[in-house]
Amino acid sequence: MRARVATSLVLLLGSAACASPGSASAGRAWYAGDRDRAKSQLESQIEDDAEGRALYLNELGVLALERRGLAEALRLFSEAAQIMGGFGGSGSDAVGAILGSEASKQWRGDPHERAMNSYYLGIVNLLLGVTDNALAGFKNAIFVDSGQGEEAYDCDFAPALFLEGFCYEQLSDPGMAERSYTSARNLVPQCAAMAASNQGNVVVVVDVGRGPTKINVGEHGEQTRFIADGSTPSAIDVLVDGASVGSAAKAGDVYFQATTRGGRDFDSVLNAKSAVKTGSKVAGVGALLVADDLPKKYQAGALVAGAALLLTSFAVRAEADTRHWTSLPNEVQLLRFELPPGSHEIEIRPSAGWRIAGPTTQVVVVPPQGDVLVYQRVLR
Amino acid sequence: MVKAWWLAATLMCSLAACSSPTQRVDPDQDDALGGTGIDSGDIRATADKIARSILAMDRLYTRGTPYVVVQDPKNETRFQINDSMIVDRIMTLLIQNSGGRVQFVDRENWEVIQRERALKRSGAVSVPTDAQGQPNLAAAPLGSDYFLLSTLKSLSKTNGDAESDYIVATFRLTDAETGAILWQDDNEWKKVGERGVLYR
Repeated sequence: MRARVATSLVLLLGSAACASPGSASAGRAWYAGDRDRAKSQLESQIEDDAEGRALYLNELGVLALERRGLAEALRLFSEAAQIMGGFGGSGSDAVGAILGSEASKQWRGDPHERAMNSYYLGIVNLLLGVTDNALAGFKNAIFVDSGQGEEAYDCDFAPALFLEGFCYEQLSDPGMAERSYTSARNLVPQCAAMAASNQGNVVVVVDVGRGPTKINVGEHGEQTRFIADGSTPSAIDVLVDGASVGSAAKAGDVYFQATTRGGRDFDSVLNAKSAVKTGSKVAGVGALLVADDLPKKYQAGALVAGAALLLTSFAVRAEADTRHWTSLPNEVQLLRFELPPGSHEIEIRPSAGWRIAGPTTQVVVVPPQGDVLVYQRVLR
Repeated sequence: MVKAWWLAATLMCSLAACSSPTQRVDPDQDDALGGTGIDSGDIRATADKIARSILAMDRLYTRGTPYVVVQDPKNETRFQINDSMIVDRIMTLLIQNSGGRVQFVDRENWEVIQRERALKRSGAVSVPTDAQGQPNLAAAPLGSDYFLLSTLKSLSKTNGDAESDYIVATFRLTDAETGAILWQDDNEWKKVGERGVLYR
């Protein structure tokens, strides 16, 4: 009977410790240029790993946007947003994350990932021509980025502020547009796309490079750090009907967004688990070492206690959750310029060693009134 | 000991399963997912209040049956919504409960209607007849007496862990000829929520 109880408890701990695998492998495939493998991996994972659903939806959303499957991208990002915006957590989530690995809980992303989900909802809605929902996307990106850690209740992700202004402008609200543009300009005064004098009717948004990678640090991996890929092309030129109209310039840094969030409440749980893990290991080894020196009648007890403490140390999973949205960009670049109304062919051309993830050229129709948005992703 | 075994086994199963069967729930009630966004209950309560308000407004009917064109609401909140859900629901309630006192003009399907009119007039398809057996062709598509216009606005606050959203859904009937506002009403709600410690 004791064996059955022990087996059950081991299974209990085991089930609680099962960690959701994350999307790192699919991300590597995508950055290596194998979009189809990345997609099939993610589609398989989304079936098998309910706790990571929002993560896989976001990754698939980026792939859908790459091939301009806008309706599909909207559906994927919207469903992810519903999961990421939830407040509640199931009891099993809590038990699993506390007894086992933190990565066993439902993935809802860090604040910068929630903000980027909203940013993509804004981009996709703008490309679909649904301006008020695009505005809602950028507003929510700003909202999520506000009040986080060191940011003292002010958003510092300039692309979301700039694109909020762009949406207000399309919705004929110049007062609100100017407020948003001014906030963006104050954050990145060197970005020519945001200059007050720049009233161009075409805005090019380029997501550049590979976003931050989240890794474990600390004795038992109880802390996380973001590593920046950091590389960007020396220039991203924009050509209209074969002629250059300028280069995109940096407007927002996703790595900076990821690293300015401050600490988490759950970190104290992980620190406590790490202390238990270290303490039980030291105590277990100590008990085994002194067992020989104890009177014979206490030796068996000391050995059992030592073994139990070591088992506890092995069983406690103190490592923090490093699942992260791998297909985020490293930075967002912008260019704004004027074109005469009519149809134009636009090409985004990065410097040598970089490639376009999306259509090589895009045909846009500039209306007599109003502006157009062009989106592109650039990868190494 | 048997009890202990069953307790452990039950706990293990509840953790391993981690799911519950799909169930039907009351769309007026908040679900367990949380969040301060716009829920089905908000849409239904808003549509119900606005439809009742329109039906109770005698001035709307003094010139006979009003013809109304419904515009999609302007979403100025931070939430992604299919905002036509609200006005679709209002139209459904009014069509079901007004006994024909309010008529809506379908502009969503303008191109389909134009194509059908052209087909009938070209002889490509048959022309319906009235009670006297005469061709039943309207001289022109219906113009409207009023526009039903609406806006969703929000006031949102956060400290990173907790969020609050105050949302106002405002509706108005604007005279399609003069621009005068005949009627306006709104529905408002506020939600606050805090993320669990697992997600903070």
